[in-house]
Amino acid sequence: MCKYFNDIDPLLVLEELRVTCVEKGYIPLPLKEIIESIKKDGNSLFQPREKRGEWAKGLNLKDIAESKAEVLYYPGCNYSYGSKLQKIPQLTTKILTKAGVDFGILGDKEMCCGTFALQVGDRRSFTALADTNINIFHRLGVKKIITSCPICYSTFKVDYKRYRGETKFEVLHSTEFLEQLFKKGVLKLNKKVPLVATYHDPCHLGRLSEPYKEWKGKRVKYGRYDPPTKELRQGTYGIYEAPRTLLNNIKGLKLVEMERNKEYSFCCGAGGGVKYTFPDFSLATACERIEEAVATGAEALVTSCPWCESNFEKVMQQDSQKIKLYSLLDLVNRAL
Amino acid sequence: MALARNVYKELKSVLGSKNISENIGVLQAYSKQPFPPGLLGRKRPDAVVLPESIGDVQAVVKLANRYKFAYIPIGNYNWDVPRQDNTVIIDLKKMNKIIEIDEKNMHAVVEPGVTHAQLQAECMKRGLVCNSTWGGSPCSVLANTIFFGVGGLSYRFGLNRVLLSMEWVLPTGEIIKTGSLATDGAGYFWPSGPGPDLRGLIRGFFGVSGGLGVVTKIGVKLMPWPGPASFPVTGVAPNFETRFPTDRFCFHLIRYPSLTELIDAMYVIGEAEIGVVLQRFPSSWFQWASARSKEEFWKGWESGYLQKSAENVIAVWLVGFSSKRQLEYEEKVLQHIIKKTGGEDIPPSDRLYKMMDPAFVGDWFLCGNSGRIMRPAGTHMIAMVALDSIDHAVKVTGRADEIRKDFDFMDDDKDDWVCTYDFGWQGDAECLILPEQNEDDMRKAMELAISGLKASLHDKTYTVLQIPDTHPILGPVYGNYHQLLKKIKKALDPENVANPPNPIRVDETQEG
Repeated sequence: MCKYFNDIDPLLVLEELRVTCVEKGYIPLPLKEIIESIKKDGNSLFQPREKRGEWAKGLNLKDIAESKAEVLYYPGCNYSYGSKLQKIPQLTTKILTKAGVDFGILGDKEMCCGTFALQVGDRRSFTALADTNINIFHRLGVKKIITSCPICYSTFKVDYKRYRGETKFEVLHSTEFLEQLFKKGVLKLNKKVPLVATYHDPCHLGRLSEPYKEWKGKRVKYGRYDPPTKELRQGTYGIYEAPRTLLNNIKGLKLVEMERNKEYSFCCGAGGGVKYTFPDFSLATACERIEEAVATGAEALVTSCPWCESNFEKVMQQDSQKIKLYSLLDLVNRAL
Repeated sequence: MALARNVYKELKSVLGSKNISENIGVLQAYSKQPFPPGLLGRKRPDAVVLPESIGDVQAVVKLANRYKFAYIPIGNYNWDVPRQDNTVIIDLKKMNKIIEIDEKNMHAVVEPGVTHAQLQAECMKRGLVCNSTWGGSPCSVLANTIFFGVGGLSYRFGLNRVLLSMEWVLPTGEIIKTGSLATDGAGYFWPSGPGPDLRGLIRGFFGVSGGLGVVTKIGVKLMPWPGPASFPVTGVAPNFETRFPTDRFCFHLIRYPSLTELIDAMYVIGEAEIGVVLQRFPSSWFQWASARSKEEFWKGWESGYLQKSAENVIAVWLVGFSSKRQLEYEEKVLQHIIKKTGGEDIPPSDRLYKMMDPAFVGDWFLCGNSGRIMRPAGTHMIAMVALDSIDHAVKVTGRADEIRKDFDFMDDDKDDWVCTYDFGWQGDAECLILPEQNEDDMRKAMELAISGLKASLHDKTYTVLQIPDTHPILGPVYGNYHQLLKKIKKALDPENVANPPNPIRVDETQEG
């Protein structure tokens, strides 16, 4: 959206349009099948429920359902199942353990956050998933959730609040938490990682993650709000600095910005169900973003979202690229 | 109503399936127009095409002549929407290349899809700058330059003076090259010859909205840029800050005891040929230009602060284009003028000055600093315009106050916009109203504009609404120009397919 002139939030309009379509029975077949997968196996990737916790095998992590912990580490669907991506929750939990954080995981009891259902307009399935998750988190006495997935992050932080009101837990993305550890001096980035890198802001960690404040009212003359207390969510307060602080403090790493960054970041093409319904468009979008990254002269394209990473990787497999893809956490780990 | 199947098929075979659409959602998006009169009687186009080259444009135009469908070329914004069936939008967004930036001779060559932001960013890297447009930085350089060519910097860079040679597909599909471009290898640097100089024809006063074909490339003049290689902006939207080097840029707000003294000062500043911006704003402008949302605008406006503090204030921006000494010289001259004319140089610590600086002073180089006029209501309309001298502009604003009294719009803003171009040689008043975006208000706004038009004719002042429907009213007052315009349209567009009824209605039975 235009962030300076418009006083509407087009995403909400699109959301309502999709909800109306789904309620009338219009939903693209691939999306319907994914929703079924979420309902049946608790994930959007058609994977068996019992394999969700396999990423943690041998790590000796606390099962939060068995033994109490105030902090829940929640990797999300993609990091739990993606064979190449599983190293991210493994590294994150290693850092959390080393930092002395008392945390637990849900393992195969973890459920999809439900974002996919919401994004494609299946509000009923989303709210059912939200209720299930909120009940689990509250029942287990979770005070803080740390997640590696930006989509789970914005869903817990923003969408649960939009649809289910205040919750009793705080939500942090792993980059935020790592930044806190770094600022406290607990996380020490001592090793050199000589690299020119550019950072891709994932939509859900950036513009879509800014806090949500409830407003109820109506639009009146000139499109004004009554009462006039509505705050526009334009992405101003998304998470932009935490990943940059970490990257800028890795010795030897030079961060260069892409033309479209932070609240203006260009989507990777994977979100909103586009990957499944318009795969060509999704990859073309990823391709455009990679070209933008290459144009900065960077050797490394860094991101902190498994969905962005998967989509970029797919394009990079098809075409030989002049840039290498890194997860932010991977670089942090190299610097430890 | 859809295009005939054989026509659609031919267009598709010329442009490829990815460059044509008749999807209803796409067509609806191309029928958007926030301003009256376009908001009234608008229709969806029957198809949208996206040419990638002049060859594509020429082919579409020739098919339009053969099959008698109308077309509307657009740059980066729908200035015009279909008002009749059987119309195709030619969206030129894919022709978005900056063909050349000639640093030595200070000009650029651009296609229609090139935006001001795009060109400005490239120019700044090279120590150059292009004129900004009041339409905003996402607007097409080409469309704005051949339309009206006015922007926030026109006080120094001139009104409509940056257009050079053109490559132009005439309504019949023939290609014409103007100015120096007509000579092989000469390029776009000179508009007046040896080829025809048709700037007056394509610009008219208020553009022809594609009514005389499609311009596919133009040369534009560039000016020197003494600032940094990229626009010095920091912050996350909408909390931007812009900081310019103080040894080259200096902004002033000057308050006068009365309008008479203010106008006198504008003349003196213009005569001294200093500054890059010299304007008197509506009081509400300070709020709409600085507010970050509609609610912030109204909250600020309704506090009543600006109604008291922003009356009779002019803005002057001094820029040392060639050297620091130029800025020092202009600063001395301005201080002398302020003293001589009885003005008060508002200090940077003042609340009003702080509203201007630092977030949007620099916008003059980005978007001409008027796009946020849409902030209060999502639309606006200009009840009366005056483009003549500064005195004439002021006279018209007085008349506009009388007319606006009858309409329930934003009536506590007593000032109007008085801009100057060409170092004060031209004065432009824009008398604003804020209708709601509904049919009832749009009709009222049109009635008000017509009242303004009648008043202008009565007072023999400059007239607004130079649109197809008013040419027959205005023509007899201005030497029957409408008859000449009609002859031009008939000669160049015998099939009347180039965005009819622009620039003038030739077929009285035509819708619109």
